[in-house]
Amino acid sequence: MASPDTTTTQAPVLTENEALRGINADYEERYGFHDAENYLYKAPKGLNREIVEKISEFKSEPQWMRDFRLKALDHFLARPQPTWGSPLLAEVDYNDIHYFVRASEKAGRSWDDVPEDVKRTFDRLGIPEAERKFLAGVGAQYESEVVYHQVREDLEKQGVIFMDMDSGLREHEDLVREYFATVIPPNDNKLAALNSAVWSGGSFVYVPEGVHVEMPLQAYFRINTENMGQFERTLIIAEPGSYVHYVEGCTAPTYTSSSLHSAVVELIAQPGARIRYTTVQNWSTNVFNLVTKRAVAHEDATVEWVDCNLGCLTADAKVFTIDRGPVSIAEIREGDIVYGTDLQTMKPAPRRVNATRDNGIQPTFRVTTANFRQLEATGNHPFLVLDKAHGGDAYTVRWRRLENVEVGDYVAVSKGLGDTGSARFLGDYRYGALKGGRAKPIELPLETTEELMWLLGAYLGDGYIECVDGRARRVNFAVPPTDPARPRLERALTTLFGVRGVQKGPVSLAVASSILGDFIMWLGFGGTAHEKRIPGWVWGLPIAQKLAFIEGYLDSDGCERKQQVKDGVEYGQIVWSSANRALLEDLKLLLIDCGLEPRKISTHSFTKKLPLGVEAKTYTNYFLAMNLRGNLDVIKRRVAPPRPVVQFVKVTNIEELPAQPTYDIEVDGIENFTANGIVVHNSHLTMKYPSVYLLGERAHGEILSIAFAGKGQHQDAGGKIIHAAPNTTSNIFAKSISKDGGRGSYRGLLEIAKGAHGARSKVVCDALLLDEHSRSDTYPTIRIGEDDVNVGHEATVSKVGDDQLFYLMSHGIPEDEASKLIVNGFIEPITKELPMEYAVEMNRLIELQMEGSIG
Amino acid sequence: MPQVIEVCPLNELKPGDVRLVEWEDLEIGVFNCAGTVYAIEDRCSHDNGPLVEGELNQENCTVECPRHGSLFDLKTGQPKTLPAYVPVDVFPVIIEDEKIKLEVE
Repeated sequence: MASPDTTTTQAPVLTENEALRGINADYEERYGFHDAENYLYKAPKGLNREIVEKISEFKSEPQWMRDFRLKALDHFLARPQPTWGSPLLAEVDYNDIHYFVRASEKAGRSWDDVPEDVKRTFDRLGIPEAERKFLAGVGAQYESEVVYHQVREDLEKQGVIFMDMDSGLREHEDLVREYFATVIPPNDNKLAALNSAVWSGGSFVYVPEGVHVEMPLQAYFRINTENMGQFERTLIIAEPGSYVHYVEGCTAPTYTSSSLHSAVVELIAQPGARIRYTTVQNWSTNVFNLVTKRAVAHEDATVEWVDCNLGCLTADAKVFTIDRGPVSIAEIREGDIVYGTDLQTMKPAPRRVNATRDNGIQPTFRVTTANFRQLEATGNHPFLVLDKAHGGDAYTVRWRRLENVEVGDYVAVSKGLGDTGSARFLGDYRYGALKGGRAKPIELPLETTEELMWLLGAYLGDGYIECVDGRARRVNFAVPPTDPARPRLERALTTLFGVRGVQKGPVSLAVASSILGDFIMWLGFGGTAHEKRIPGWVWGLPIAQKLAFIEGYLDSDGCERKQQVKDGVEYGQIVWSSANRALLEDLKLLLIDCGLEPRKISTHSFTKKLPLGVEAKTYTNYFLAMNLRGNLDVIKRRVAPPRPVVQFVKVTNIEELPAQPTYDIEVDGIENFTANGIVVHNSHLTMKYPSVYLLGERAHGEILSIAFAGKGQHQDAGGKIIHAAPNTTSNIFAKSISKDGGRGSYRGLLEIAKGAHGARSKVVCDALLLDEHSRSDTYPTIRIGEDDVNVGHEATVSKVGDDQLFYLMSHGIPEDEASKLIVNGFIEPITKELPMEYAVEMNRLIELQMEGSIG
Repeated sequence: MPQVIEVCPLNELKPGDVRLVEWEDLEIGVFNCAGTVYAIEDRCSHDNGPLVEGELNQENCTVECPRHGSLFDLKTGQPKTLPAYVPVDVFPVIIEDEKIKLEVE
């Protein structure tokens, strides 16, 4: 959570913004709201025995469940964090999470009993509508407990149990005790242990022998409290010959920071039973979604997982700001373009801000690097560091929390941000200040040029505007006739504006033009010496114009201290001094932006005694210095700036600061952004591999999954099927779509155990890449222990190619439509397996994801 | 060829006690569950976890693999919970002259 500090913005692509506007409108409206937090009980952050006991006590659980939780806690604490999968896993901070939040006293049975604010949340999620659609039952999880639950009467009559897990434990303790944690024991993995210790809510479904539940059972999940873990526990038991379809849909408000969602789902299909479990997940980008889902299928039973993982429909831009220059992170808005680092190429890349967060008042640290970059951030903010792995000499690049960064470590800083700017159009300036049109007309440039920027730099250093009656009357430059910059200044005034100055006093060149003064103020250079700043649009210019601006400032107000000349190379320093510290900080960032290497800003104070000896006044001046060598050449000759690169620089100081307001932003595609020239991170990850154990003869398992990895997301999904009995069959169809730099991974395991004669399986994984920056990986594992089996594996990776698009467009289909058609065709085999309303929602989500993907 | 090996005197393995026996390249866990002695292969069929280090439940005569939590029935060697799904080998236990003996092959 970087502190309210500066981040660089850059001129964006307008068309993309317009396209993205559509995405945002809908998501904000539908899911991006959150209610003021209003809870009966909220456990403090972190996890220990006391909290686990408290949870159990709150729920008045039987002793065996309490013991089960405590034992699971020991397993959780004893196990290391998994090291496989995504490196983002290392960022989960288990101590920064609320493990239990209780929203209201009891589960409401009828809609009228549900508290008003909870109802509003559900209204917006459309749950009452879903109910009206004669769905079999609606269970809605609000925070950790189900507050509203209803099962249709006819199902109850058939003996079907569909309730929240807490009630299931209370009312059907024997059933729960028999099956709970038999599919996923608490010690199965670290996250299963965590869930076992702190589980709350989730669904309990029991379908008696021979009963077919024709309508899908449905539950919605939402995370509403910031930093709140959601640990629901679902257990579905289908007795012999029964059938049930359970649907789980997830949304989360966009503002949640690093929420951890870690569910455990256990399915038990007794002989001849069939369970279908459908998930449509649409977490916002900052949710860690680490879920364990496992099913067993006995003789002739069938289990199907239909799993759709969509991510990152975050609040996209409403307002697109161009040319804002370095803006405090507190003022960064969605849609701003900031710089991040492409970790593949280690080069800076412009990225769009997806969401901003106010993280409240927190203790912070100030990091200073050897090249005088400074950044204030909270202890858990990740920085990109060079790490000497395993005590060897080889360095690897990894993210590390600031609290674990030490003086002497190397952190990534960006060195220049590339030349992507363009000249600013000035033709829309109109002089309208003066009554009667008496102002002398002057020539006005239509767009920025190097010469104009040099002049403005000189004005910034030594210029001021004289006002008469509140309007500009005269522009003065305190550049004496002997100054080497004087002829250039006079020339620039003539060429650009067609005006001449007159000597005023011994020092100043004065231009009597109201319009020139007004124009300079319109450009954002108004104000007194203490108020002047570098306006944001300057950052959007081409580097040559920015360097001309820096040169103008250097020529008028800077000073070159040449200390020695050796072998024809001048050594020394360039120094700017000013009483206006903010202005020097602007300048420092502009220098960094141009690939230059400024040093720190130093302070000099002195007290001046006035003649009578009674009054004393203290003056403070600030200095910004930069080495002459390597920098002056760039400024004077506008030589090509060094290629933008990320470099690693030693941390020289880390200082604890008092608590202060903190903010964070999320950016597209590359999960990091550059703050004050230091590379930092944001994150979000899904890891999910539903599995089926085919334990009985002729059992069948099916996994259909879609993962849509958008901006800044890593969707690591897949499936696992174990054939442990003869003549079992299975299919895995995994489809991943990656877009805008997203990364989709398929990780699968197919195992045919010894003794599973005649097993047949087919694994198909297809990946569709929508652009050059996205990525897809496949990690299939197949283990076969018998000879007489039939296993097929196919994998394809396709790109939406120009020729496909061209073909469709040649049939009169517009480009964006054509692109959607290709994607819809790609996922159609899976959407057709979804219940109608989910298929509709899925198509809509895909459509939203697709908007703006081309162009 | 089945062979009988001697483990220890019966009074040295009290109810709740566990002992590891090695025979050739085989490791066998010998458990006294509430007075009845069972012997199973000391290797979880899921991930080779050492079962003698697991928790013995004398009420149900099960042992929990310390590695991933699979529960094994000591009488049959059958896993009662996932992630293991293949039974482990069980060995007949003979009590003779107040001594515990196993039949191995």
